[in-house]
Amino acid sequence: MAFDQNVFVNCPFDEPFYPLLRPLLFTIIYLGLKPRIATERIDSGEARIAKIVELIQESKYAIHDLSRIKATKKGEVFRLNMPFELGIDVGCRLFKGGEHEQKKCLILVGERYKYQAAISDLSNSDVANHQNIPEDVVVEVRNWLSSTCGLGADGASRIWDSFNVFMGDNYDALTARGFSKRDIERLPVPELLESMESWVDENV
Amino acid sequence: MKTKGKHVVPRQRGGWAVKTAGKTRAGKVFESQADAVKYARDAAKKTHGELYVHGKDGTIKERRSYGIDPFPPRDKK
Repeated sequence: MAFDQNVFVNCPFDEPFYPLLRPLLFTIIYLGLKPRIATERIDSGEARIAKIVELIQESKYAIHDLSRIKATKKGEVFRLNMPFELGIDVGCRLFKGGEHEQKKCLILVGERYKYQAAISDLSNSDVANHQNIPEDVVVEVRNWLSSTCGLGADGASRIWDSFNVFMGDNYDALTARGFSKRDIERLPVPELLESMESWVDENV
Repeated sequence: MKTKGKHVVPRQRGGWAVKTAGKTRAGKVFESQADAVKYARDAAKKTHGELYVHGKDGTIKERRSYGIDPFPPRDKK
């Protein structure tokens, strides 16, 4: 996979994030790029950090979603994986040299300025606020990739509509194969990516 | 996987759009979901197509088919 086509996606992998993850992945694929995400392949024998470092090194672009790092209830620890991986990505750009100096990243948050208070080193970085709204994820990711990669991409509303049509077609295809509504909503990332790529190939 | 279905799609900035699969043009937008569903249902019936009503995250909340059943039920004698 070509370095300048790859977009590393750093985000939570739990079910509550799926409503934002699906349109995020779809937008990247719609724009002709390749999402690279730690759950793109499932191999229990593979060290997770090694996989993440490999994905970061292979990707010119990165999208880091910091919207879920805050603990949601008393006693819960806050989540450091996403900022940790953002740090590795920035370090790769600064220290690895060669094509890695061209690396670019977008930081997504759910509430403007909130996380800049926790990670003040981000104060001069591009931070986009999706407000935890799936349609706004499409808007922010589309706008950033279109300008950063010089794509002249379709409008965000068209991409959002296409995502919905994909969801309908995928629902039909999976239902015909015996998937329940619940199975469809929890479809593993590798299968979701395969379905999106094949739908975009046929329909966009 | 191409279909000519009618999709009722939420718009974050307000309203519900009716999008026809396979067409690039943006669909008609309604203020209420009920009006959008009624319009999409009538259109799906006319074309013997499918109706999809989407949630805020794009998942399918309702799906109906108005196609011609190739295997209709037969009266038993």
